[in-house]
Amino acid sequence: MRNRYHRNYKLFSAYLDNKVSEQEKQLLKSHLDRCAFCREIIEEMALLGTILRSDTIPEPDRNLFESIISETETIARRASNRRRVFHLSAALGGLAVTGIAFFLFFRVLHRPLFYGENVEFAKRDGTKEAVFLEQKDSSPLLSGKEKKKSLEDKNHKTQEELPAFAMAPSSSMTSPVGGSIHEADALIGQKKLFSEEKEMDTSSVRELSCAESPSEKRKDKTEAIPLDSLKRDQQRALRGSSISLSLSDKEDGKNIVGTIPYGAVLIRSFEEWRRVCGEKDLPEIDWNSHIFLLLPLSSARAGYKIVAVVEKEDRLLVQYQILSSQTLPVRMDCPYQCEKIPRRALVELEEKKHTSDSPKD
Amino acid sequence: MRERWRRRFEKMVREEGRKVYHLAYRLCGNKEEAEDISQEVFLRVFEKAGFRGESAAFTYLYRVTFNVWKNHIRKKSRCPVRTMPEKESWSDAWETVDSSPSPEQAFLKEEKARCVWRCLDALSPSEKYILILREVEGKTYEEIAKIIRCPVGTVRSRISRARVSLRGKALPFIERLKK
Repeated sequence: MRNRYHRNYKLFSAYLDNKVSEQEKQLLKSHLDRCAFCREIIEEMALLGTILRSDTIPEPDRNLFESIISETETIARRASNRRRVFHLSAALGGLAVTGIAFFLFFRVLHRPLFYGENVEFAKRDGTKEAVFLEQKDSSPLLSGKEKKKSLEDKNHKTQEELPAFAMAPSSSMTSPVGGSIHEADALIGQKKLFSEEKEMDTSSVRELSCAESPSEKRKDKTEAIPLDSLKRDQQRALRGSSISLSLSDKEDGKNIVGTIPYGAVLIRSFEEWRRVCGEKDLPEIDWNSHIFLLLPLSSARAGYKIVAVVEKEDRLLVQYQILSSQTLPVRMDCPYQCEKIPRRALVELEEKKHTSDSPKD
Repeated sequence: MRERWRRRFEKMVREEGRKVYHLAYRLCGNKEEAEDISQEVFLRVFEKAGFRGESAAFTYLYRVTFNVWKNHIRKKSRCPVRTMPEKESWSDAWETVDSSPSPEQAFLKEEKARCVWRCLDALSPSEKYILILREVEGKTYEEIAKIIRCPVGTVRSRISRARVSLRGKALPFIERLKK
């Protein structure tokens, strides 16, 4: 049987470190007395340890530890600066993100779906109808004087670019309400361009929106609109451009946004309807009291109903009635959507047009 | 908080700095390198602020010293400054020392130590480290177990293995060392 103490290096090592029990120590000693080989190994191990311990170490530099401490001060200062820069950049980054978020929220997410000419509508309080719209300059960064100048430039440009058909009506017919009826094209549109006109009282415009109701008072107000104050270029500007609508329905809390683009057509008589839309689907309406507004389909999904279009000094007021979630009927055989408008509400518009035609006559 | 840590750190440097330097010197055998390693150890401890005071400071510092030294020898191995002599050349070197004209006892002792340290350098880093902790620093098994984070039984077998390895390296010179 093999002796468990013979060449047991682990035990030898523990023996040198005095980590064996007293009993094992005695047994190992008796083995070492008999075994010269194991005794030699233990002696050599002990000798190597002794030599290692006997080695001397040179003293370190006197300033070693002081230099370490001073070095750490530098590191601490640098780390503090880094932290400060990090916090500052984090704060700036947060501000930038917040600014971008606000910009996106107000400038991108809330812009009208159909961004036509920069005409903005506000909402009349308390009722579903009402409206108005106010044309603004396209650049929100311009100052008041710059905007005015830009507006005047636009005015001149618009006059030059207006199509010929917009300048001269090709035909006219007698309207049951007294005004002359012109070509169906080129009616809707605007581009406000005016800088020095008398400002029409907004309240009268709001009254105009109620023209359907048989109120004598409201009727008076409708007639009181200062048509004569319109200049000829203003009247021209009514033709051939677009109107942007930004509507707000207070009841369901939704924003309804839309555009009446260039090409919208007003039809005020049976003859005009037949010429534009053909013989089919002739509407059964009283042309004495209503007309039609044909809107291109792409922009006619806003769910509003035009009640009146009134031009003001530097703005075009469009009175409409919100139809809530109801969508307007779409004619499949016509690329327009029909909108029936009370003729009464358009008296103003027609009179203006008549005024604009009269100088040519 | 940081100021408190800084005061504590300065105290640690003054109290334990010499121990760290000694260990670094034992590991690398060079005064300049030992100072560099000591400095790096304390800077690392300061930057990490990893010592929480749960154990004795020296156990943490010894562990960091070992890691810094391992990185140090890894860098050195990429651009070795000196190479260990072969066994045969060691014998020659010993013969040279032995045959030198009338060496004094102290010189002989120093040469013996140098020879054994060279043998120790030839061991693996962990073997060298644990043997230095036990034989030179005189740490107990329990302390070594805390420093290298392993059980006491493992420490015991590792020390035993290291001793056997050292004896194997020193075997060619063992008769001379005994004189």
